[in-house]
Amino acid sequence: MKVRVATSSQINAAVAGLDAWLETMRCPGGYGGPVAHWWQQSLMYTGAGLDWRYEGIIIGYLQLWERTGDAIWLEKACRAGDDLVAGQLEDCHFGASAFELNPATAGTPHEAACDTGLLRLAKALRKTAGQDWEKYALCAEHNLQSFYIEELWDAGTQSFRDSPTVPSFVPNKAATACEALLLLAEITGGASWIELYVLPTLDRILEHQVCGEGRLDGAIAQNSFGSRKVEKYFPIYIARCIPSLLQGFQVTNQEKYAEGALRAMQFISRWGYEDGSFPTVVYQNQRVNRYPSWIAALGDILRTADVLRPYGFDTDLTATENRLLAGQDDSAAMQTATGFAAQVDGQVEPIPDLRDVLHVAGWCDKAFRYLTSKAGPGLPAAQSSRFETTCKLQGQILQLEETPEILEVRRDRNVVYYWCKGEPWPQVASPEFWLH
Amino acid sequence: MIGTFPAFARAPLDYRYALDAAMSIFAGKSPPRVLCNPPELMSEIRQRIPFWAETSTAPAGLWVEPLRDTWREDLQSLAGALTGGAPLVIIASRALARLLLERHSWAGKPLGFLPGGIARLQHALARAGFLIEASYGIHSALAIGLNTSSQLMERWGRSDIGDRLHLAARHHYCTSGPLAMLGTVMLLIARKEQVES
Repeated sequence: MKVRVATSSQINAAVAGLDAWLETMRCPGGYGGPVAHWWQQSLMYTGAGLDWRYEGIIIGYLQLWERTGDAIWLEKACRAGDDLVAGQLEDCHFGASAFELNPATAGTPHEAACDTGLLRLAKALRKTAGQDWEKYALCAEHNLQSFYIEELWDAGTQSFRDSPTVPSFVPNKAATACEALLLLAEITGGASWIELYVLPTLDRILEHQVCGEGRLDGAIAQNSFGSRKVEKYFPIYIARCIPSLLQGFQVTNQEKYAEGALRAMQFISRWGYEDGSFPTVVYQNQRVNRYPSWIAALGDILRTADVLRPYGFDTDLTATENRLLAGQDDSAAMQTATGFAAQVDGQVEPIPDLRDVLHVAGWCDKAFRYLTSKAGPGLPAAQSSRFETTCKLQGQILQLEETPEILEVRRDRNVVYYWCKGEPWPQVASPEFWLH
Repeated sequence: MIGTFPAFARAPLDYRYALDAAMSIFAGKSPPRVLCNPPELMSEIRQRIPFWAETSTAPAGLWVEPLRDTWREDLQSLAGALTGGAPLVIIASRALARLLLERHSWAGKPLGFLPGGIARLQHALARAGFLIEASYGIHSALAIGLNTSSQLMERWGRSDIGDRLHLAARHHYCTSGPLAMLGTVMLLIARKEQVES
């Protein structure tokens, strides 16, 4: 199949559109909106979520600022950083930081992802603008010290737990914490963060990597409880382990980290489909669940592939980039996935599931981050327009309409879901929307 | 402030699901009167509803876990506080909630554990001037069965099937009609009748 490479004007238009849509998701305290995910949904809580959406939003705006020189993008990065500073609770956590578990706080890897965004912002401000960067660094350091190091660090296993109360390890989440700590070390000059926490954690991630088992080689197990590994391999999560492994190589020159990162990416590309998609999960018996087949989240795979190219990764992912760009609709946001309804039985229906066509800030940020790394030098004007489609949820045929102001879903002529953007809860939500 | 309770300490999904469902009923209204008996659920409520009505009258009410010993007085107090047309959302554990490990340490004797306890509550609601608009069973018996099968498949090394069963369970988590009685938690939505002036 011959695939066409996206032009810079296509990418610039996509980025400008995403920025316009993100503006429609602004609400008191930050960026809001419902969440669809593999694990569960949060269609009810729609207020600001101070979770991993901030990683892609802050870094995306910083990249735009660097690539265009336009101060408006730095202002938007700072505004997002200010959301986190203002939303940090006394106990160090960020309010509603658990994404699909919102409105809970203490979400992982979400708070570390927020820290990464804050530290990238602090670093950029310190380097070039000399502005008030310390508040962002201090906010991140408070969270990393009080939560990750004091509550999640497990001295016995020399790695970050996923919960203070359960002996558990999730490689991609720990990798996100490592990325934040590496940035903190760079900003503060404190190399001990790397020695004490980052390198032992990266070693534990490598212990979760499959070695020499044919098509599974390079995969990283999703998590472990004590010594019991859960041998499920999620490409989008494996991709999130790779940047910190590469950084581990850069600071130590130990080849095991670069080699682990490269093998992880080769695992991902080995399982890719011709249409540019990837299975959502590959099991130890090499069976897969292909659905939901992510769209916006592909940004993380594409970004990771880019950082690995200087290390020898040379698979062409143009089809994946095209799939990502094709997921942008009239709202100017990227759709979440295809085939959510096929999650259970593998049967793809012609009418999309509501969760497929839902636009989620915490997925669109991944597309935004990737695309902004290629955007500029100028962006066209763009706006978020009315988006309407037929979809299904729990067997019901529905009409979804999103505008810059509202998200409304109707069954026949009855409104079954109505969210006025900016509000923390929908005003109407019939029982099928209670789905978790 | 919304969103202040750590995910690692969260209440069982059964109760969080019911609380989230209740939120669209309170959306756009002044703070509801809240009566929550299990202290273990207090933080989950606070992070959804930071401010509770403290005034003598309220435009909505949330009643979590009516207890065998106090439910009549609690109902009387809520009936007196809610204005005409106000919704009252009731979240009550049913007998199957005894299976939830997290709630083994909870004190109090839930009315919903008693055979006929919820029926008695429904009759009393009607007598107190409430119209029951809907009732739902959360964490249905079917979902429990699917989740149990999912865990068995995981144990037998078939996570691929186990995950699908778990995902199917999510779609059957909430039920209505006669099977609602077999959920771990009951969600009742009632409305105070308007008094003609």
